[in-house]
Amino acid sequence: MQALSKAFTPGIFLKTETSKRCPGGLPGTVEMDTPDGVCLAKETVWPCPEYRISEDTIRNRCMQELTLIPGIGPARADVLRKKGSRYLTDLGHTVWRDSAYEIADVIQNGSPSEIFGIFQDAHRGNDPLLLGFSHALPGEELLYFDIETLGMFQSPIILFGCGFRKGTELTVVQYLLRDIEDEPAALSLTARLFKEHSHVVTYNGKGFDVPYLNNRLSYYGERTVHPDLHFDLLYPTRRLYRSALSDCCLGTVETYILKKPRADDLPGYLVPAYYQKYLRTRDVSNLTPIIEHNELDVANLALLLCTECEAVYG
Amino acid sequence: MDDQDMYVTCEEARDPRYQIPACPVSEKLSRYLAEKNIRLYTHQAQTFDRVSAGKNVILTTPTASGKTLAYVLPVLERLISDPDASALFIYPTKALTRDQLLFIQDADAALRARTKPAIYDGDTKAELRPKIRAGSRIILTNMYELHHILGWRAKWGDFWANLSFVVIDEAHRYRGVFGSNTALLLRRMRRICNFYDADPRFILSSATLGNAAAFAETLTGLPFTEVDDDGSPRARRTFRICAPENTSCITAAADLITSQINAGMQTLCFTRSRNAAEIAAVECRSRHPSGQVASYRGGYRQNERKEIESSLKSGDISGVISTNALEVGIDIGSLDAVVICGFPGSMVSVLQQAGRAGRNGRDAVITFVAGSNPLDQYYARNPEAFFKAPCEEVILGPDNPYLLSSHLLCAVAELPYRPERDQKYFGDLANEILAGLKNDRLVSSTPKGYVYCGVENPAQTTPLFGMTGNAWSVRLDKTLLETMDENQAYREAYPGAVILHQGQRYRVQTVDQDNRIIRVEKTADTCHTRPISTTEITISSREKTKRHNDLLVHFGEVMVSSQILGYSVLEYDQITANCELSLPPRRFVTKACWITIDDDCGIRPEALPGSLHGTEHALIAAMPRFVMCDRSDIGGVSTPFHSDTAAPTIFLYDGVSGGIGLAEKASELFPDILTFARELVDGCPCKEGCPSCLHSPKCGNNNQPLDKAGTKHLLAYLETESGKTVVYK
Repeated sequence: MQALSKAFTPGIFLKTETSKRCPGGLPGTVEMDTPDGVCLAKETVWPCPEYRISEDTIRNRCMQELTLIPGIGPARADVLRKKGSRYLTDLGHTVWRDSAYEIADVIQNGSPSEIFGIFQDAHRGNDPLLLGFSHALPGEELLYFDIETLGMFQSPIILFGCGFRKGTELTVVQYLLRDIEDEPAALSLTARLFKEHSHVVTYNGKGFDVPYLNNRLSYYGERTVHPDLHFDLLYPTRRLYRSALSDCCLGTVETYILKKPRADDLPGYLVPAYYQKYLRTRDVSNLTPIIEHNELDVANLALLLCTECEAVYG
Repeated sequence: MDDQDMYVTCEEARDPRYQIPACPVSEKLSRYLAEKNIRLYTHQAQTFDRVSAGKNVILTTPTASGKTLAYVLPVLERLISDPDASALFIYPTKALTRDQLLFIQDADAALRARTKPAIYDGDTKAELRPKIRAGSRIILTNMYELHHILGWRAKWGDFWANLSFVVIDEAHRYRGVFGSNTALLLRRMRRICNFYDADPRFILSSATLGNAAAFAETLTGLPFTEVDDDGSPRARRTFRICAPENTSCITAAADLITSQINAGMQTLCFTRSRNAAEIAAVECRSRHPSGQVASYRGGYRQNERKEIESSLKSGDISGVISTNALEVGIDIGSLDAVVICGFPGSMVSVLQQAGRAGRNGRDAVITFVAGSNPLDQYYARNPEAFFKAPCEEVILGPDNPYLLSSHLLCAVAELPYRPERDQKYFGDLANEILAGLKNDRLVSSTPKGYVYCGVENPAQTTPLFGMTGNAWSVRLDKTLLETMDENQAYREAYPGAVILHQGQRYRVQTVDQDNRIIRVEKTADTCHTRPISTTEITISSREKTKRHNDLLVHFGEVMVSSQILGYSVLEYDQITANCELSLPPRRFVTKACWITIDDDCGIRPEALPGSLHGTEHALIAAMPRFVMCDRSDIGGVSTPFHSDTAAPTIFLYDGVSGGIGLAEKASELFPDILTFARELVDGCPCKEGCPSCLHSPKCGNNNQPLDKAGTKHLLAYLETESGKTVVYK
């Protein structure tokens, strides 16, 4: 192999008209050609958990959330429940009548994103209850998303991990940069997946992955993405398992909640170092652990989402 | 002190001159002006017309001439007629930003302009930020914040796309290296706005400058027109200069304030330092009922400052003693008298401070009380020179390669850089620098243009303003007394130091370096303290030597270390005790150029220190126009013997840590600088040195010793060495 030393030196790999087996020696990858340039892609298939909740179940459950009404906190909700008001619609005889009916109407007849809005207004936008919609809506509409970066905003995203349901399986597609010149292509392919899927599932994606993606898209002057519903599992995980876990890192959650400890996994904080080493040496063996780490992250998102829905809705 | 002891000159009162804007004023705005009973002064109407005609305007009328109204009106007029348009207002201090927000909010409400004016700076709460970005059409901020938000285009895209106006208040503050940084920052912002097809107009307000329009053009990179036809009324103003003989200038100022307050004149006194403001306030307070005199300076808590500002305006307090913190356009109304205690460093500042005096129809008195240093004393002896001194010119060097390189890196990280499109912002040198950055693997050239590929956020790693990071807090038990920056903390808050705060004395107990907390306790002593410090310069490495015929100019890395050895305890200006401290020195590494003086230079040993010191000052005074900076960006040290060179040596070093090429450029241009310095000193008719030749406003040794004859001789000698033929005078 040619000795290559410069970081992000463009034009090292030849462009091809169509996807072809990667000549770079990275097993399982193909070269993707787009109007914005080329990047590598890898596709893997994973089993996808089967679990459905009916939308009625969720709406019915939400109807019991008295604290969605401005002015009702947990303590007052307890008192009201003891007096026999279990549902929002039971508050017809109280001072909260108007807002209770208004909120109840949205929960019964509104769209999922309107219901998200009601929860957001009550500062409960990350409530585990809302996760239920992910398994009530068609599974094909969800995009599982996780990125790997070099650590700082304003540096490129080096790997985009995207998962979506095809039939009974979960397809994980990863777009990988061989150098920064590949980023526009990988970004446009990722943005296309966001267009094809209405909702997104992440772990800390509200704070990190999605704004980072949008920052990079706008850096190149491209349109940013705005998923309809965003299921960010970090906050529900904290709510559900904080007392049981030492921390809420994805690794800890996988080990103790999913019972799937990772063997030989690359810790996330080493990703930048491995990628930098690849850039220096062009030795693709440094990329393999990053790709495998990200692949598992995406696949486990689906498992974790399902586990948490089951935990909430039984 | 009687008037007979002072030099007195008068400026007659002036009636207001009004003008009706030539271009049509909307009905809404006309109604607003009529309701508020506002008639526009000439400069306000002219600003309105020129801004409406799409011109970039710099407004240079004095303090309290209604500059804020002048730039707010045309901006609001446009924002009302175009509901998408937005404006960015940039202020130099947070206190001024908060003050101006109130004015803009009032105008917005009265005009129902629906611009939702809001401040967006380091203090803005995270949860409010998205709302301000999305909803506010007038955002008030500062240059530091702008430097950071430019990188967040995903969040700010809509704002940039609709940006119609950029207002820069107190623009004269952006001078020297800080100003050059600002100039590059504004070019970065313009590049991003243009990317969104927005082309905002700039309105600058500034103190009177020697070169206002040219300065504005360099600062923004755009053509400018100046409005200086001040139509505001002016009271009759009496200027006085006094030189106290047997007392310190602080005591003299306190006497003056006392007698003026007793005569019913509301007085504002400006001092050169924070400590001086507090000491003068203590002296005044002892002679007046409590609550009549207050001190004011940076570092006070926000509500504390607000309270002083409003009671000054309402007349509830009769006297305020302030640092230059009140020099900026904070709305405190006008006063009867201003006392300037010590030369503030520039004529621009003198005019700003004097502008605070003179309310409608009442005579105003402005008194300059000279300090004991030679610069102040010179003005005391030559008062005509004081009134004839021209306003300083502001020099900017936005093509400094060090600064340009930092800002290009930030720019590339903000938006891919396309040479053919972006060269107009950064000049020809940019391409060369980008090629170097590419070699360093910080940028990469792609079909989308140059893109950033480093691993750190360049806006955070670029040391932009030589600004020291976080504020230090002074705490009394658990309550926050005030804040100070790192330099102030170093100079004023050593263990044992007495800190004055609104007349109360506090003694520093402990200094927590890691958490930047200074713990103090109340003390009943009547003393104050002054640090005893020493500054040394050592050569770390000599990088090159430039030979100009027989004159060798060395250039390299130096370490400037200053150490507080202890402090003096003073009671009524008399030193009563000296205390030793063992504190670690504070080091700062920078680049310097230096020359050594031969034994045969022909100067007697006893005249050598004064000649070296004078030459150092003259060189520093001459340097800015050759290396494009402000004189405060350059430091100097001269010594009859330096251990690293074993000879008499003069050092000139970059005031910015790490160096930004000022001394390096000076080593190349040394003969030219020498010639200019000699002409400056030769051409000055004074005998012993004066502010136009040898005196430096920021000399650490109070301009002592200085030897003008020796300096003239030494400069001529050095010039001959450098190969120029000099006619000895």
